[in-house]
Amino acid sequence: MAMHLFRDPQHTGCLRAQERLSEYVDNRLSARQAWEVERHLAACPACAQMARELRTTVALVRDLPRYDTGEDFMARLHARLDGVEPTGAQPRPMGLLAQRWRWLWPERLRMALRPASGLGIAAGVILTLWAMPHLLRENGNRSMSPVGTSAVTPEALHYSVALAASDPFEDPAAANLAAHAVLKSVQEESDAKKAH
Amino acid sequence: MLSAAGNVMHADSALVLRAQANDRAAFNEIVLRYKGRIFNYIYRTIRHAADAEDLTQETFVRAYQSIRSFQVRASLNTWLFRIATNLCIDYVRKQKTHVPAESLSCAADESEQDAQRDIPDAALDPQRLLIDKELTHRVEAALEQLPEKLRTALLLYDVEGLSYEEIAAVLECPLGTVKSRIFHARAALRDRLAPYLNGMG
Ligand SMILES: [Zn+2]
Repeated sequence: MAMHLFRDPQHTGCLRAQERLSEYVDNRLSARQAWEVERHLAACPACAQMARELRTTVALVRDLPRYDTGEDFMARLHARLDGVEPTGAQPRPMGLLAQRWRWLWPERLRMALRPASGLGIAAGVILTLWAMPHLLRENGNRSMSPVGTSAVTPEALHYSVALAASDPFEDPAAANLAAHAVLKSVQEESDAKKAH
Repeated sequence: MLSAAGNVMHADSALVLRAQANDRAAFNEIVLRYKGRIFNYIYRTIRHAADAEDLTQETFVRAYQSIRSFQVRASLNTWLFRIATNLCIDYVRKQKTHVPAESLSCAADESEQDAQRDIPDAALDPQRLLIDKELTHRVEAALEQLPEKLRTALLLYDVEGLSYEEIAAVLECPLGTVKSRIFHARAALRDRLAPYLNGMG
């Protein structure tokens, strides 16, 4: 897969620059990383050309024509919705505990922990309720206060996130990597926002 | 400080709350807000206009059915793309077992219907590259040749404008996997398009 990426595999400088080109054209690199890439591009015509080609490629993909639904889409949809009832009870206003929960949990983590289907939610809750005490007990002296963030151990979160995360394309490494990546993404998300 | 994304999410939340209380007009508004993006994404994924329309319908039917289990603080955008993605995955799996190969180039057709589907403001932005039909066709052909996983990540990122983090939530993938797929998708596209890019950019 990676073979075609490197026109000059002897040059490790090329390799390092090319690994970063995609994020470079998105302006996602740190100032220092971007400077390193630029320094290489200034000295290496082959990588400079790759950078130009990549930039153009991205622009072409982003400029592909967009398509929308046909004219009768809404009428057809509402005809179908007439025969459908939303399932589940109407949500009640958030209780005090839920509100605290909301503030204590980063958005990314809560989304990752929320499986899509009703069955998934039930299974997730049961597994989490089952897993938490076990994991907490293993960590000995931590108490399980409903408010203190320190009571929710990283280990417990890792476990729950790993259960909730599954790759629809059946990526083999997903189960192991998911927990780490989602936790990491909480930090990276704020970094990314700064970068934009 | 409210970001643009924050404002969108706030407006979405209000609509979702109303839709959860059986307000069909609010759900209608949600559909109008998202159907273009969802359709474009599904169509670019499965490349069959009629089926893409059906899957877009199905996306919103499922969203309507389970709207009450949707948590208002989450991203409606991410949720809808996740439903759509799962429908596409099922569809592609079925196609692989039943239909060998169908015409994949609806987008290149000059038919009246397809011409009407073009969103006109594409031509209004002076910054945009002037792309001839030939090059558009090559980009689409190169996209089609990408493995599904790479194409999906690229479509969500570069065509639909989702963030790495949103895509990780849509695909239920680690963030590192998302980054890697986008990187490899772009590299493969650049590789295939390079012969046609001389003098551009
Ligand atoms: Zn180089």
